[in-house]
Amino acid sequence: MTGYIVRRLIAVPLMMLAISFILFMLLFVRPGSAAFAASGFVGDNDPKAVERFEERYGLNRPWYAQYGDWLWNAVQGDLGVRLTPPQDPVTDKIWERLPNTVEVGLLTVVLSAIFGITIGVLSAVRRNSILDYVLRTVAIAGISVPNFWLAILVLTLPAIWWQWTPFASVWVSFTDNPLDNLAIVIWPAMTLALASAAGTARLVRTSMLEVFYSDYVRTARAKGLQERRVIWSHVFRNSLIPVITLIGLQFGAVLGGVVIAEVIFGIPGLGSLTLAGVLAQDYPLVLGTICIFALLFVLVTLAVDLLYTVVDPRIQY
Amino acid sequence: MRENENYWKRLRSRPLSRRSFLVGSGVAAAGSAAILAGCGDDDDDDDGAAAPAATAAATQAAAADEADEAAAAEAAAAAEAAAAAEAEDAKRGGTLRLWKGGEDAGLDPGIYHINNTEVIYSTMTQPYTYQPTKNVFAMDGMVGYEQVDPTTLVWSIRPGMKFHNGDPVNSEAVAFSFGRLTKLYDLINPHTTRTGFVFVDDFEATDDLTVTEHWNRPNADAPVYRARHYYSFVNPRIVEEQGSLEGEWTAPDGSTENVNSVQTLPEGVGSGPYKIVRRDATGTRTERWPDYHKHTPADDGFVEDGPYIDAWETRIIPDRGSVKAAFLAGDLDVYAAIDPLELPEFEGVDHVNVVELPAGGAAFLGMDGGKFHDKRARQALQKSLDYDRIIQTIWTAGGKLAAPISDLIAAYQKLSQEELATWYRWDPQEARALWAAADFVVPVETIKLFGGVEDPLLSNQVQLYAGMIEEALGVETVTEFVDSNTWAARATDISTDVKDWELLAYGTGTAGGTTGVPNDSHLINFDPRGYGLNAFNHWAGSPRPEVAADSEVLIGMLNAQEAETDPEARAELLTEVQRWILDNHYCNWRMPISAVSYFGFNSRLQDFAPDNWLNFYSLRRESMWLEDA
Repeated sequence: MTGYIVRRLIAVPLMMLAISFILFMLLFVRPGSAAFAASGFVGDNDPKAVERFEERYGLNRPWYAQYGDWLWNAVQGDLGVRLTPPQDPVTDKIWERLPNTVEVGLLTVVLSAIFGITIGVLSAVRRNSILDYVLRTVAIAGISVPNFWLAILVLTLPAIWWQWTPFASVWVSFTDNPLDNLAIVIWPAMTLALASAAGTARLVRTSMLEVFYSDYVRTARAKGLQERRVIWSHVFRNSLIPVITLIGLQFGAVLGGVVIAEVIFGIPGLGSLTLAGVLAQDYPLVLGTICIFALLFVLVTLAVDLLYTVVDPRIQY
Repeated sequence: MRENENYWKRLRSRPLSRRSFLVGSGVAAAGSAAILAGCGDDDDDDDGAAAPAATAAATQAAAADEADEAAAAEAAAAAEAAAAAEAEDAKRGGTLRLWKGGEDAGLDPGIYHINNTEVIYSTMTQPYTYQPTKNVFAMDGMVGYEQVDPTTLVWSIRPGMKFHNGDPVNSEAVAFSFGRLTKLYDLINPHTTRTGFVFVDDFEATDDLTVTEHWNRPNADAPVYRARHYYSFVNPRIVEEQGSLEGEWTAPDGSTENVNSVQTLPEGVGSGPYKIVRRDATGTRTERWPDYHKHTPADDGFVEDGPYIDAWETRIIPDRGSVKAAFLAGDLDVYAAIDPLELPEFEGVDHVNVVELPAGGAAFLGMDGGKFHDKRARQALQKSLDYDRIIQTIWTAGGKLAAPISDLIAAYQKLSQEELATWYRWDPQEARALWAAADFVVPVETIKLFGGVEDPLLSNQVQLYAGMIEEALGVETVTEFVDSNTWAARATDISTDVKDWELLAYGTGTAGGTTGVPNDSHLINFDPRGYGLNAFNHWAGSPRPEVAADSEVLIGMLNAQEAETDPEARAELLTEVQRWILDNHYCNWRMPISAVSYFGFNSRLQDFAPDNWLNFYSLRRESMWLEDA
C-alpha cells in the first residue's frame, strides 16, 4: 500500500510536467500574444510597443528558454507574474481564488452524491414503479440539459417573473459569514450537481440492480436477514465501487463546469481567473491555474483509488 | 487676440445649471420688481400730483402695507430657500450600484482603461467633461482655458483644490500629470491614445494656477482630448514616492528620468469626490471624501457641494445574462444598451426605465489593400451589397447608412442619408463588370470574411454580406470567426504584403458613443497611419503604388482638418475628407447601423441624463441622485 502511494506520488510531478508542457506549447503556437493584447487598440497599435513589451517580459526568447524559466520558478512555488496589468504574482491570485473554487467543487460533489445516490437507490429498490419512471425521467433530463443553459435559466427566469434572482447582490466569503456564503454558493453548486447527480443516479440504479440478483444477496435473504439490512449492507456497499469511481471522475468534470458557473454566478474563483487569462493570452496565468486544476484532479483520483480499499477490503495495492 | 476671436470661447457654450438658472431668475425677478416698483412710484407721483390733499393716515396705511408685503416676501423667500435646501438634502445619500465585466487592469488613469473608469471618475479630478451631442464643456478641475495663439493653450486651474492627503492641486501637479502621459506611452504604450498629445512640445506650469501647453502644430481637438479621463490630475509626490518604476525615459535632449505608475492608486494620489475603500475580485467600492472642493459656479452635471450620491458599489459580473438578471431583480442601477429583441423582457417591470436614443454604433468591412489595390475591385465589393436588404433584415427597429465620421458629432457631420445613398448603391451588374475589369497583383479566387466570434449578431451580419457578395460577383466566399485576440493578431499581421483574409468585419452597429473627436469616431479606421497601416495594408509605404499615392492624399486631408480651428471651416474639410474616402472606396467601408438604441436604468436613478450615454463622461455626473436615498 505504502509502495503504491509512493509510486503514485512520484508519478504526479511527471504528469504535471507533461501537462504544463502541452499547455505551454498550445499557448505558444496560437496566434496573437499577451504583448499585443496589452499594448493597445488595433488602430493605435504601435509595433515597437509590442517589441518593448516582449523584451520586458522575455517573450522574445525561444520557447524552451521561456518554458524552462517558468518551470524552474514553478517548482520553487513561484508561478510568475501576470502579463496583463497589474502584473501581480500568479501564485497570490491562485491562493486568493482557490478556496472559493474548492468550496463550489466540493459542495457540488457532495450534493451530487447525496441526490444521485438517493435517487439511484430509490429507483433501484422501487424498480419499474411510477416513482422509478419519474426519477429516471428526471435523471435523463438532468444529463441532457447543458448546465450553462440551466444556470442562465436559474438566474434569469425568477428575475423576469418575480424581480428576484439568486445572483448574489454582494459576495461574502465563507470565513466572513458561512451562512450568507452558502446561500450564494448553493446555487451554482446545485446547478452543476444536477447533471452529475443524474449520472450518479443512473449508475447507482444499474449497479444495485446487478447486485440485487447476485448469489450472495440471495443467500443473505435466504438466511432471513431483514430487507433493509440486505439492501444497505450487501447490495448498496457492493455497488459502491463503480459509483466512487464515477464521483471521482465527476470531480474533474465539475472543475471544468466551475469555470462556466463562476462566470455566470459571479463567483470570484479560479475558473473566472482562468478565463480572463485565456482571453488575454496571459500564459503564466493560464499555465498556473490549469496546473492547479490538474493537480487537484490527480490528487482526487489518487484519493479515490485509496478509497477503494476501504469500500472493498479484497482490493490490495 | 480679442475675446470673441477665440475659437474655443466661441465653440464652448457654457451650460446653464439649475443653480445659475435660479440665481438668474432671482436677479431677473428682483430687477422686474424694481422696474415695476419704479413704475408704481411714477404712478404714485402722478397720483400725488393729482391729489395733493391725500391724508397722512392713508400714507401711514400704505407704508404699513408695504412693510407687511416686504415681510411676507422675505418670509416667502426664506420658505422657498428652506424648501430648496430640504429638496437638496433629500437628494443626498445612497449607493449607486454599477457593474463591470471583469477586474481592472490597474488604476493608473494614464495607462489602461480596462474596467477601471468607475474608480478613475469617482476618485480623480479631470479638467472638465465634454458632451459632444450638446457641444458642452462643463468645468471640473479647470475653470477656463484660452487659445492665446494657434499653438499655445493656457489653462486656469480651479483654486482651492487638494489631493486626498491634503497636498495642493496646483499647476506643477497638472503639468506633471499631463506630461507623464507621453513618457508612459514611450515606455509601455498604454491604451491612452497618443493622438491627444503627439502635437504637444511641453506642458509648462506658468504660475501657481496656470498651465500652458506649447504645441508644434495647431490641433482643433486638443480641448476635447483633455476631457478624457487619462488627463486626470495625479499627485506628483505620491507618484514619485509610492509609484512603481516603469522605466527610464530619455527626453529629446538626451536627459533621462525615472517614470512611475500608480496602478494600485495609493492614498493621496487623487483629488476626486470619492475615495476607494475596496478593490478585490468581486469589484470596487468608493465612498464620499468629505473634504472635496466646491464647484462654484457648478456647470452642467456638477453640484456646488459635491455629488449627491454617497458611494459607488461596482460588482464584477462577467456574464451579460447575469447582468440582465441582476438588473431585472433591481440589484443594479444601470444596465446600459438593451438589444431591441430583448425589449419585451424589460417591459412592465416597475423599477426599469428604458429610454430610446440615437444609436452611435459602428460596423465595418475593411479591405486588404494588398489584394484590393485597384479602386474598381473595392468599388465592386461595395456595389455587391444590398444595403436596403441589410437594413430590413438586420435593423428591424430602423437602420441607416453610416458615413466615415459619426453623426453623433452633429457639428461636423454634414452628409445626409440621401447623399450617402449615392455611394451605398446596390448594383450587381456593375459590380460584376468592375470586378472583371479590376487589376489584381495577387489573384483573388475566394473572398474570406473574417470576424470575431464574441457577438452572434456579427456572424449573422457577415453571413449575410458573404451571400450577397457571392451572388453578385460570382466569387466563392467563406467566413471565419475566431476569438478577439486571435482576430486582432491576424488583423494586424503586417509581416507580408497581403492578409490571410480579404475582408475584415468588426462592430455590429448597435449602440455606441463618441468622444466628440472625429479621429476617434471613426476616421482612425480609414487613417493610413491608423487602421489603414495596422490592419488594411492601406498606407503610404504600400508596395502598391496607387494605394501609396491615395494614402499620401488622405494624410494631407486629415492633417488639414485636424489643424483647422474654425468649426465651420473644419466641418467643410471633414465633409471633403468623407467624400474623398467614399469616392475612392478607400480602405474601409462603414456598414449600415441601427438608427435607435435603447438603454436601461433603474427608475430610482434621477438626473442621469441618458443622452450622456452617447459620450464617455456620464459617470462624472455629480448631479445624479437616488430617489430612495
